[in-house]
Amino acid sequence: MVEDTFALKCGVVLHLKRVSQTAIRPILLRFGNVRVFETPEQLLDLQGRAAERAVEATEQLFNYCAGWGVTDNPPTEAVEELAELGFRVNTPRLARINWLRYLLLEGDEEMGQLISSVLALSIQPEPEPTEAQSTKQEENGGD
Amino acid sequence: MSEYVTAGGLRLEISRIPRQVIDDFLAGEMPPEPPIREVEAWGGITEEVPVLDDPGYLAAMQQYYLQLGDGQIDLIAPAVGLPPDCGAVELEELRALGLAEEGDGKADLLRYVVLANEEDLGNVTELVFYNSTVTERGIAEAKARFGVTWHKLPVAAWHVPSSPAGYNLEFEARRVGREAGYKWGEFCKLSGPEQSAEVALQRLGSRLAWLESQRQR
Repeated sequence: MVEDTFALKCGVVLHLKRVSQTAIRPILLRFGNVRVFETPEQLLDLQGRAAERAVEATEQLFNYCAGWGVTDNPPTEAVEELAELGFRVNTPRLARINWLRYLLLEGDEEMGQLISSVLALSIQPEPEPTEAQSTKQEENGGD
Repeated sequence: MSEYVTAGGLRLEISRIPRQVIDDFLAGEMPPEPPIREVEAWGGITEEVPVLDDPGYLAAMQQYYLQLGDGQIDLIAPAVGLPPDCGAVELEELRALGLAEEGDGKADLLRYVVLANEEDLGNVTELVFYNSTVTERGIAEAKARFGVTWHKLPVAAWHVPSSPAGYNLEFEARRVGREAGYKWGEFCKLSGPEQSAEVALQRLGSRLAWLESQRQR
């Protein structure tokens, strides 16, 4: 069972959800090598345009995983602080991403671990609905 | 024109794209070939066998499916009609996050928001293909509509030997179109169900001709 929470070094525990594989596909393609996550150290050997693309793709992957794969929202005071610092917080996702990036995460390693956790959760097969859930869905007309 | 409602309840209007664009897309996305290894069969004779578990080949296949899956969104985007004002806020957000390319951003909106659900993407792609080109669904519908029987049983229920010839749907469509008196451009202008009906007509006609030939023996 893959964890659906992620404990940050600062003590905050984030709640995660699956993200769309349709959306991850173009980002993985930008890395130029779909197996990059099996041996991520090879990213360090990239040079020139390939290295630039990998940086852009990492940025996009973080944005997508943090914006769509984390369910927690920043507290009001954090949003105000980000706004004062000039970061965009005009939508819940932008606020969440900037909160994580600038106020909570401690460095690239922790950022990478968060991305890995969301991806690991997302590539798991969908859990079978329990009997209780199935009955409830039928009662609600399958919605 | 068809209508599709996504899992999130968004109502989309699905039209068609030129079938030549689909043909070009499919022809341009050929799967990688596995490496070949020579193995000794018997009596000193060697055989060439594909190495399907070669790591390089597996990586290339993964890349191929990734590109095919992503490319289909750009392919179908012109045929997907969104409700007015749908996604303007989301598109602005995607642009702010570096997730949307330049241009109208419709394909990115589909990719990240509207069709992010794999099942929706599959269903909408299927509908665009159905509206645009020959599909097995269109052929099956036409066959059912024609109601051709042989001794009161559907013609498809009778065993007819298959041809050893192999070809893809584009070859079959071009041949059918030519035999029906269409120029290729004219055939492509037909809607997907109409193209499929022409193919169904030809397939059923071939089966009937064979069954007739057996009766006359």
